[in-house]
Amino acid sequence: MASSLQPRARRLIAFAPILSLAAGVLSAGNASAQTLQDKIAACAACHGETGQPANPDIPTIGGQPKLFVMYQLFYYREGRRKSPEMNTVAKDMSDAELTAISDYVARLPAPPPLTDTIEAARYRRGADLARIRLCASCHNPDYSGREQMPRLAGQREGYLFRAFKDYQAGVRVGTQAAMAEAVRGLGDADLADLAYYLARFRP
Amino acid sequence: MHPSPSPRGLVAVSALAACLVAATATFAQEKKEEEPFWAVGRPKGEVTAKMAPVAAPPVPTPEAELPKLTAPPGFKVEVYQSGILDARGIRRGDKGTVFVSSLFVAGKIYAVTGEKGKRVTKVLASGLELPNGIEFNKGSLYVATPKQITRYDNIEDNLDKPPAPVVVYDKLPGDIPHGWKFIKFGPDGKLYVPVGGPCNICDPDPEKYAQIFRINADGTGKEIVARGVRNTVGFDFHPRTKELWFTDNQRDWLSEDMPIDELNRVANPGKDNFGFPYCHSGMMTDPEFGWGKSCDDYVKPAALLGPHAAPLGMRFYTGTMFPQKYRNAIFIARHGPWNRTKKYADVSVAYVDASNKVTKVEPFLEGFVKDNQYLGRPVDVLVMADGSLLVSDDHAGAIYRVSYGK
Repeated sequence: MASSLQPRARRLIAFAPILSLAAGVLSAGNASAQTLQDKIAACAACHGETGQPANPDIPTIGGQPKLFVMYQLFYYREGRRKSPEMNTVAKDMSDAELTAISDYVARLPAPPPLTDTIEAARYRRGADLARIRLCASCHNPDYSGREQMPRLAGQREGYLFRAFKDYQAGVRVGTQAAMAEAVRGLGDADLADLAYYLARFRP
Repeated sequence: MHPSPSPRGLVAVSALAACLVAATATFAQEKKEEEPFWAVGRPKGEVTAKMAPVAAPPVPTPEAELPKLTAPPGFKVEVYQSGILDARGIRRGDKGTVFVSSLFVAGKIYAVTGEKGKRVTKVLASGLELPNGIEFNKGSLYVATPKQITRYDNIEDNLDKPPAPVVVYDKLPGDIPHGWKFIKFGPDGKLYVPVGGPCNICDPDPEKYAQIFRINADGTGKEIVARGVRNTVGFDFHPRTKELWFTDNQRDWLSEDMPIDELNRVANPGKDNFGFPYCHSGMMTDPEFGWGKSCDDYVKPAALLGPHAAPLGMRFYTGTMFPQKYRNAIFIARHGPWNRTKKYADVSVAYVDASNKVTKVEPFLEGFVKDNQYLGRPVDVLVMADGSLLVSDDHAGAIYRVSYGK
C-alpha cells in the first residue's frame, strides 16, 4: 500500500533544492534586516505563491485557520515541532511577524481536492475511518478546520500520512492530546486510506 | 490429594485467559480511542459537536490591545506586566519577585522583577511538562507538574542563573487529564497538593485520585485532607479560622446550565468528601455514577460559582488597601467555560460572614469577554504587600494590577 508514499530520505532529497532556495532568501542579509516581505517570500519559495506547492511532498498551507498556523510556527520556533527547514525559517521570528505571517497564510486560497480517478472502495474505507474516529467533530464536517485545528480537505496525501505517524509516535503534540487519541491503534494501511480520503474529499 | 492439572489443560486455560485479557484490552482501547478525554459524555448534536477546550493564541496580546477591564468605582486597573505567554499561577517572593507559572502553551516558569516602568520578565525554566503549580516558601520556589514537585532554593538571589531543582515529591500519578497542579503551603507548614480525577467523569481509585493531600515540606508524611474533589486549581486558608477553602471544577456536558462549579470549605480535614463522581454541585446525582447515591451523604458547597465557570485561583483578601467590606472576602478567578455556548469570565468576590456562610458572590473585575469571545481569561489572583491585587491572564499573556484610592 505504501508505494505512493516515498521513504523519508527520498523526500528530503526532493526537498533539498527548494530548501536551498529558501535558505538563500533567508541568508540575504542578517536576520534583523529581513523584512516581513522577505519572510513571506520564504514561505512562497517552498509552499508556492498560492500556498499550493508544485512538489507533492510539501504541504499545502492555503486556507488554513490562522490560529493553527500561529501554533505551528510557534512550535517550530520553540523547537517543539521538528523540521530542519521550518525550524530554521521560524527561529528568529518575532511574535508580531509570526502573527502577520499567519494572517497572510490564512488568506491564501484553500486547495482544491485531488482530481485523479477516485478508487471508490478506498475512498469509502477512508470515509468510514474518519467517521469512526470523529475527525469532523473538531475539523468540521467539510474538513475545512477551525481555530487551532487544521484544514484537512485537499491536504497532500503523503503529508497527512506523515502527520498521523508523527502524532502516533508522539513526535507531534497538539494543544490537547486529541490527535494522539484519534489515530491511536490504526495501522499504516488504515492511515493511508484516511489520508487518501481527506486529500480527495468532496462534500 | 488433588490431581495436578495436566500441562494441556494449563495451556488451554492460559490461552483462554490471554484471549479474555486481549479482548478486554481491545475493548477498553477502542472505547478510549474514539474520543479525547474531554469529549467523553458529550451529547449528540451540532452545537455540542463544535465545543472543544478554547486554545489561547501562542503569542501574548500586545499591551495596547489588552482588554480594558473594569472594577467597582474607586478601584484602578492597570497592566502590571504584558508579554508573558500563558501566564497562569502567580506567587510573591519575600524580596518582591513575582513568580509566574504556565501550562499547555509555554511550559515555562517566569520571574517578574523591578519597579513600574522598568519591570522585566525572566525565564527561570523552560521545557517543563504542564508546570502549572508553583509556590514560594522560605526562599525556595516550588514547581509542580503532573508527575513531581521540585524546589529551586535561594531563588530570588539567583534569578539569572537558577540552581538545579531538588526533587521534593515524585509519587504523583502523572496523568495529563486534570493532572496539572495548584500547590500552596498551609498555616500548618505543610504543602497542599491536589490530584484531580483523570477524566471528565469516571470512578477512579479514591486513594489515588480526586483528592487534596498534604505533605511535609520535605515530601514525607502524606495525608489525604479532602476527597471527592474532581479538579481543584485554586485554594487558600481562611486568615482567621485557618480552614482550607477550595474551588472545584464540576464535570462537563450535562447541560448548558448544569452542573454548577463549587466553592468548598473543608471543616473536617481527612473526613470530608465533596461528592465526585456521584454528586455534583451538592444537588444533582450523576446520570451514570450517581444511581443509589444521595447528595446528602456529601459535603455541600459553600457557594455555587456558575455553570462550567472554571473557577481557578482564589485568595482571601488580607490587605488593608481595599475598603473594609473586602477584608477576608475571597477573590476568585473565573476562567470561563468552554463547555457552554454562552461564555463569561471575571474575577468575582465571595463575602464570608463570621459563621463561615458565604453571604454573596458578585463580579469584581470584568471585561474579559466581547461578542461571546474571550479577550482574556483570568487564572490566579495574588494579594501584594501593599494590598493591591494582581490577576494573571493566560489567554492574553498578561498580569493586571487592581488598586484602590490614591
